[in-house]
Amino acid sequence: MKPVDDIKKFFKNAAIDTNAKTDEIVLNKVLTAHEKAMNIKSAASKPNIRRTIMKSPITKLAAAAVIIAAIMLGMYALTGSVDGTSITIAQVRQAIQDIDWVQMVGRSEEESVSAWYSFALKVQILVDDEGRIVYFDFNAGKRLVWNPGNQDIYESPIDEGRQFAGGVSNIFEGLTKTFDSLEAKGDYKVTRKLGTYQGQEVEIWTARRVKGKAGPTHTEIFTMYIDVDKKLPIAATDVKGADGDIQRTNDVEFKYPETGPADIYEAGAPRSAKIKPSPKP
Amino acid sequence: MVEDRLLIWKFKLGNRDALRRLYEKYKNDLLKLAIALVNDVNTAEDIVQDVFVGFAQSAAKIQPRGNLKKYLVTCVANKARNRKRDQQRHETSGIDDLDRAISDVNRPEQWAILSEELELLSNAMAQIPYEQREVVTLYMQGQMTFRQIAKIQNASVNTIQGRYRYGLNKLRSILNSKVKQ
Repeated sequence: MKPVDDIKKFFKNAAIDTNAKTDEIVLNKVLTAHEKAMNIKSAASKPNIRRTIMKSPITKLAAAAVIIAAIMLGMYALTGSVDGTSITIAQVRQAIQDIDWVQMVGRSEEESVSAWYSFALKVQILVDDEGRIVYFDFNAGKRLVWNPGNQDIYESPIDEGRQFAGGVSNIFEGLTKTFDSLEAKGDYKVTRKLGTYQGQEVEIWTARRVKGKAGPTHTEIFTMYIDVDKKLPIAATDVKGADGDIQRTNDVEFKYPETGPADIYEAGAPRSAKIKPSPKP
Repeated sequence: MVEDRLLIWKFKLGNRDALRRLYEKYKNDLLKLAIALVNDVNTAEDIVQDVFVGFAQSAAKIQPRGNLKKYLVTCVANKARNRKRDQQRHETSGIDDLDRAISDVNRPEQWAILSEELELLSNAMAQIPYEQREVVTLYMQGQMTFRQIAKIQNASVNTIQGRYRYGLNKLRSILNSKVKQ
């Protein structure tokens, strides 16, 4: 038997049991805490900010890519030669230029991600599935990280080469960049119609792949929901496929709050947590 | 995993039985993990209780799509590290010992019942550096990957693998010497 197996076996055999009486006491405390929390929740009328699930840096990147692609494909739809247009590209351009904060919640079958971007402040906040918060302040060049249950927030410089929102200085720039490449490819057929999204009147734009290569990372069908009044995208669904078989669906919701979390505490870190320099590995 | 997701959905809707089921499912694993990390049954019990209470209070924030066990394991590891840091900070004050003595008097019957092997393991763990202990415990008991542990310890994966190897060697030698005695 290998030495590592010895230790593994030892861990496995090291059994534990619990005292039933104390078990009941602890469980009651847990249930009471839950009950109190549920009462507070039902009393509050404000919608809660969704916590996220974001398992790896790859997922974060994928989620960010979905956001940009979502808004971008929306632009593609706007510029397509479609009859009965009620929202013009100029209106969307203006609406997008006027916004600063964007909050997005992206979800796939396995995980979800929540992020805030402020294009004026160059602040980017990500929250992962375990409640881990990463707060980037690109103007100050610092990155703050808080792990759930931890009393400290670790500060470190932002890695060299890392750019705010993937190097996009505003949403419109991101849109036009993506639009240019998509338009050049001409791989999508865009349709649009009026409809509703969660009871809200929207224009629904659907871009379906008609040419080009299918693949797990290639968009097969993209749907975007545009707020008829505000002329802003409010949600999108991106279905990626391989050889026509749907493999993965990403849903993204966009919100445009007047302001976002002012600091890592407002993003969810406990007020008692202190900011400390990140320990070197 | 699927069962957990279902239970979390029910728990978010206020179902007490779902929370009870999750508690029953994970309490032993988390206690074992905490004992291996802190080498003190009372502290380990407090940590696990705090983690469950915190979890129960965060129904609105928990998403059913993640891996619940890994989430709870991370919470235990973070709390254990905080306790250790707090203990070090107040090591010389003596007030902690007083607090602990009072809390021990008020404490109901011990919650965790340890097997002989677990006591042996916990004592051996206490003799290896904390960072190595954390890596070995999270990898073996928490079923976390080196990458996930690297995230928690804010270190590179290579560093974590090194800590794992060193920790394992020391642990093996301590346990072998105990068995010989």
